[in-house]
Amino acid sequence: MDSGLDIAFLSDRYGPMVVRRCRRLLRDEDEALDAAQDVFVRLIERRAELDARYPSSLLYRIATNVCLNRIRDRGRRPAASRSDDDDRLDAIARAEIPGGDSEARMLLDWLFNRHPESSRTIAVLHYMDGLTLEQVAGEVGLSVSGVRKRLRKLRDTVRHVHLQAGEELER
Amino acid sequence: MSADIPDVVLERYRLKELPPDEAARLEDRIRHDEPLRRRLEALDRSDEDIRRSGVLDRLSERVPHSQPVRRRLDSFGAVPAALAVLAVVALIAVLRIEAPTPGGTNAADSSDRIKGLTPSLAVYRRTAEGSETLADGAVARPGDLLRIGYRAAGKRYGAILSIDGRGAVTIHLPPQADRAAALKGDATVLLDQAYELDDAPAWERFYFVTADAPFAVAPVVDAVRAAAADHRRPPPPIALPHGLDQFTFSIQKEARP
Repeated sequence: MDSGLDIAFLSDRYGPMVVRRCRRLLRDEDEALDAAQDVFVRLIERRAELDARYPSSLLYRIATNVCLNRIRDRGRRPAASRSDDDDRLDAIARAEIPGGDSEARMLLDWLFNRHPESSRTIAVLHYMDGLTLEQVAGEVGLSVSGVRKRLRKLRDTVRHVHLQAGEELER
Repeated sequence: MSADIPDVVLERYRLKELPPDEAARLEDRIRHDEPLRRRLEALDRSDEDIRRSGVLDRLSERVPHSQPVRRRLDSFGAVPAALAVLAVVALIAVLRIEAPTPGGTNAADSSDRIKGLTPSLAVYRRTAEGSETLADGAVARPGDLLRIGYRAAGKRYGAILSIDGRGAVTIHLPPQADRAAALKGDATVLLDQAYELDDAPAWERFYFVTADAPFAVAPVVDAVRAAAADHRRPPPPIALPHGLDQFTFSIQKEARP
């Protein structure tokens, strides 16, 4: 397959940034390298979105997405390696569904099916990385109001899930 | 103070991919914000560590039909080694300039450089496994194959020269012109050609001279020659006209056993 992209150049120029991003989110050297490799595969798939002026933007978003998917899929890590950032990340990756049992996973799938993948990226950039709404908007190519709307929808869904969980407990 | 600048913003600043107004605001912050400068320095070190670890070579492994990074990082992989050496030797033969008897002026210091914000050089040496980064003052030997990279850090034009222990000057950049080259990007840019160290004794001193406007290379060559008054030790920074800045890098030469 000829992607039309000079992956050697891109991985040389942006590789350190991608590796750092994966390390920060995954906190595991081997998994971070594995994820960083995935990022460049995904880049080929999403090459139509590449902005020649700012390739770093798409690569950073892909790296964030790849890592969030891995966090979601691997379940909770041992408590000894956890930090506040880890908890926040898990909450975003799992959209704050409490617990790690199969029921929660079903809810998780339900939640992810109702929100675009980019909503989780937006949540990470805003809540964890500390980007302002304006900066997030610039990163993901949405308007500020669009970003605000995505975050509100995500919060509403989480609130709804929490309410449902509370009703289940009361029965 | 620096904590309010997200990592992604610093990454994009270093890659020169921030919108100009945002980059200008950040540059202003960096000048006055020591913790922010330390974060940039940490990113520089992280880049070096990642490159040295060989991780980048593996990033494209799963991409169909892609070549390992080393092909590009390391010119030696792109062309058969012997051919590459021949090309390098030929290039050096063309550009080698015999130094006349040196005169001897010394120069302005560039000690007020702020790491991460100023132009710099990186020198890589080919190894059996790939390549390694040389530190300023590192020991190298005749026959070592070096690759030079630069970081423009916002400067638009530049020239890279070196002078050896015999007083011979080599122009590495521009490859074949008498005007400074237009510099590219903000991440480290590798020069196309590798450079084989010859058996000149003692040291090799590199100069990366930069400016915001085009400049002639000949006066820089003259300044390098003039600075090399004493061939027993590397010359000091060179005297440059107003508007030109310099970054220097030295290698200690050691004869092969």
